[in-house]
Amino acid sequence: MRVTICILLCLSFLFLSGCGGIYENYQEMEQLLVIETLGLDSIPGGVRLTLSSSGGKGGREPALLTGSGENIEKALEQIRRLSFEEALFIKQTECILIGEAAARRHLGDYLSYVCRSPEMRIDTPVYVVRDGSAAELMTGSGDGEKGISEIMRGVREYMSGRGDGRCFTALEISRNLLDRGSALICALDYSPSSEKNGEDKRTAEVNGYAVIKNGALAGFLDSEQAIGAGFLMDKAGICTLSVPDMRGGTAALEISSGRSRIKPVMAQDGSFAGLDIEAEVKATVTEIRGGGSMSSNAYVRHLTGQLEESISDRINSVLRLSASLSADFAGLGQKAKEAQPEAYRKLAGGFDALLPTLSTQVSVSAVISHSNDMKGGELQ
Amino acid sequence: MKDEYLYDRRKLPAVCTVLFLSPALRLVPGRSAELAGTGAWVSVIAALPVLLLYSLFLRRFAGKRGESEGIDELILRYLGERAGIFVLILLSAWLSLYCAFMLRSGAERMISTIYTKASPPFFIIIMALLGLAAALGAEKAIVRCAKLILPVVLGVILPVLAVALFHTDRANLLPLTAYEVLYSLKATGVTIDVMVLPMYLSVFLGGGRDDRGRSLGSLGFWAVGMVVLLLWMQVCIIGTFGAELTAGLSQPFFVLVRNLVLLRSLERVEALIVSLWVFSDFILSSVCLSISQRLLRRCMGKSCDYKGEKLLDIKNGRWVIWLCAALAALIAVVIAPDRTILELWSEKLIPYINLSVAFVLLPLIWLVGKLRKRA
Repeated sequence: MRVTICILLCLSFLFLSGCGGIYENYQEMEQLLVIETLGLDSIPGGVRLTLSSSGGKGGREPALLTGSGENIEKALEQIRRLSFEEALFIKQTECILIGEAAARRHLGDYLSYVCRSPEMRIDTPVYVVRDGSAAELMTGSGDGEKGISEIMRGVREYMSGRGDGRCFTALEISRNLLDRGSALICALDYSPSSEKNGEDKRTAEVNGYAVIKNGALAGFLDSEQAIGAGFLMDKAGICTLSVPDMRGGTAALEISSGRSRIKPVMAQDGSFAGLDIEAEVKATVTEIRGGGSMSSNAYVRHLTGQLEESISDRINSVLRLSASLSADFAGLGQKAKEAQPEAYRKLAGGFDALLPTLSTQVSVSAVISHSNDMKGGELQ
Repeated sequence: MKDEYLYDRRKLPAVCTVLFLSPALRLVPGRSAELAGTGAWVSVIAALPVLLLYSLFLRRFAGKRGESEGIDELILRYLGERAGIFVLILLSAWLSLYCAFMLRSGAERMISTIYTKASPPFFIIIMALLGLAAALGAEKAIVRCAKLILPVVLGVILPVLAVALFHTDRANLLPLTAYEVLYSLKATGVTIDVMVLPMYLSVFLGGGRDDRGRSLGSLGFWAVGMVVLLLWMQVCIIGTFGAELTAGLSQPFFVLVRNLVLLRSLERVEALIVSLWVFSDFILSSVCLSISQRLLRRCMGKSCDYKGEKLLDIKNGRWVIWLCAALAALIAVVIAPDRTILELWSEKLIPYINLSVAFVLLPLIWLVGKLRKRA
């Protein structure tokens, strides 16, 4: 009996080799076209899907495929049916681009697809293409060797640790939409590239955030406002600001770190009356134009004041947009909840509904820590 | 029963852990987040006192069981012949139904996470055959199998949770007001439901060596350990997805696994990890089938102890094992034609029946036994 069982087991291994047994979907890596970027645009009655792989070694051009259908699955089916490729592998998708028109109407549906699909990862970064379509950006960016996938890798690298832009994943966006009713998505522009050898080339450029409310695009924050949003979300990072100095010139300041404390101001009846926002920022002087000197205390004080004003303006600008849209995309409600959980719980219409009526007080305290390797700055 | 077919009852907590993993991952994260929101993770802690008390009850209930004695002998001793047989049939039906439900929900897990184009009967039949093969042998083989599977499954779940802990966002878990903590008690039943099942199944399982109730004493420690594991899991899942998104996902733990990237080089390991849960389903269906057939064979007045019978031997009422497996597979195929009905079974019907068995039927049996001075 044991010998028979052993023989049967050994025979069964023939069918479990992985190369052509009962498990038929085995494929060699070379057979797969690995999709790294997925673009979504709305068309009348459906969706246009654009897929891009990265460029291969030896100058192989990145593959671009496009298809359309009444939904993403149908469009994907059409691409598979009409493609020259043996197999499309979309499990490795590293970013999703959504055209502005599509984001205005169907963003919630697209996020729902990412959450639902067993192929996609829920932590895939999502971007909105400002004033354009995903297909346009994907087909027009890059050159023969580098395509949108390489460009987007560069975008993510550029943004890591920066204060004027941040990648949000489908997970973060869905979570924020469910928790706060609104969310931010990194916004991209379709811009001329800095690479100028040969014909004009175009690329993707980070330009602030798209504001999403109730599952649809509601507005944008530009890259200057994005710095303010970074402070409100307590995720201020490296970015450069240009401020006027007291001699009519300008100074370039690099923000090295920043933080904010948001305290709710309570009314006598225990409801939220306003928000008190205290921001702290540290910066270094990287460039002075017009002969200013860092050895002058008055000059440093002036730059510090300018920096404080500049940050305060950006924060106020974001708060105004938040109030006008009644959208708590910066997570102010969470801060209010942490400080006053009981009052927050008793809110009837949610914190976002309260935003237009809240008074806000912003105070910024800046420190210009050093001017890198120059003590003074006067080389004239 | 020959000594070589008896197992050491001190191994039962290992069996409980393997039995617990499958229902815990299926039900606790999503359902408790749906019921209790952000405070869902607190509800796990609130379940602990109830579970400790229940482990004490089980100690009372089965503390004096003899060698190889399963729930069948206990019930007949406590209730007498006529009422005893009625309850045995009731319990056997429940366990066959639970086995069927586990086969169906295990198939659904495979379909919703990996094999999206497959249909449930394929997975149901394979798993039912595996469960049948195990139920045809001694309980000792199932216990030993669980003991072997446990380090493999924990060896996966613990590193996954350790990595996931770094991705949690405190804002998704805190702050909690006193009201929210109280509100979270709504979800305590979910934790209790998934934890009492392995506890009483381990007591139902026959074929153990007499240990003077020591293994029952360790159920309390087991409950503490599993509450810690469950708490850790809840913190990771709710801390990553937030309560609302967790409630909206059908398999939050496996979505967490899908997002996992280890050392920027190892990713998309969900197929491997989901497949590991087949082991937990296998032990659960084997244990349910083994107990269910034991109860029915006792009703027929047959000896239920394994005496080294061959696999295909159907004498001494062993055809009942085949019947139970076939019934479970059949019920599993027809029980839930779609996901909505499966959710109804998973979130409402099965938990209510399970909690009724654990907190009404078993205490009643014990009470009657006590009154009749048999317990």
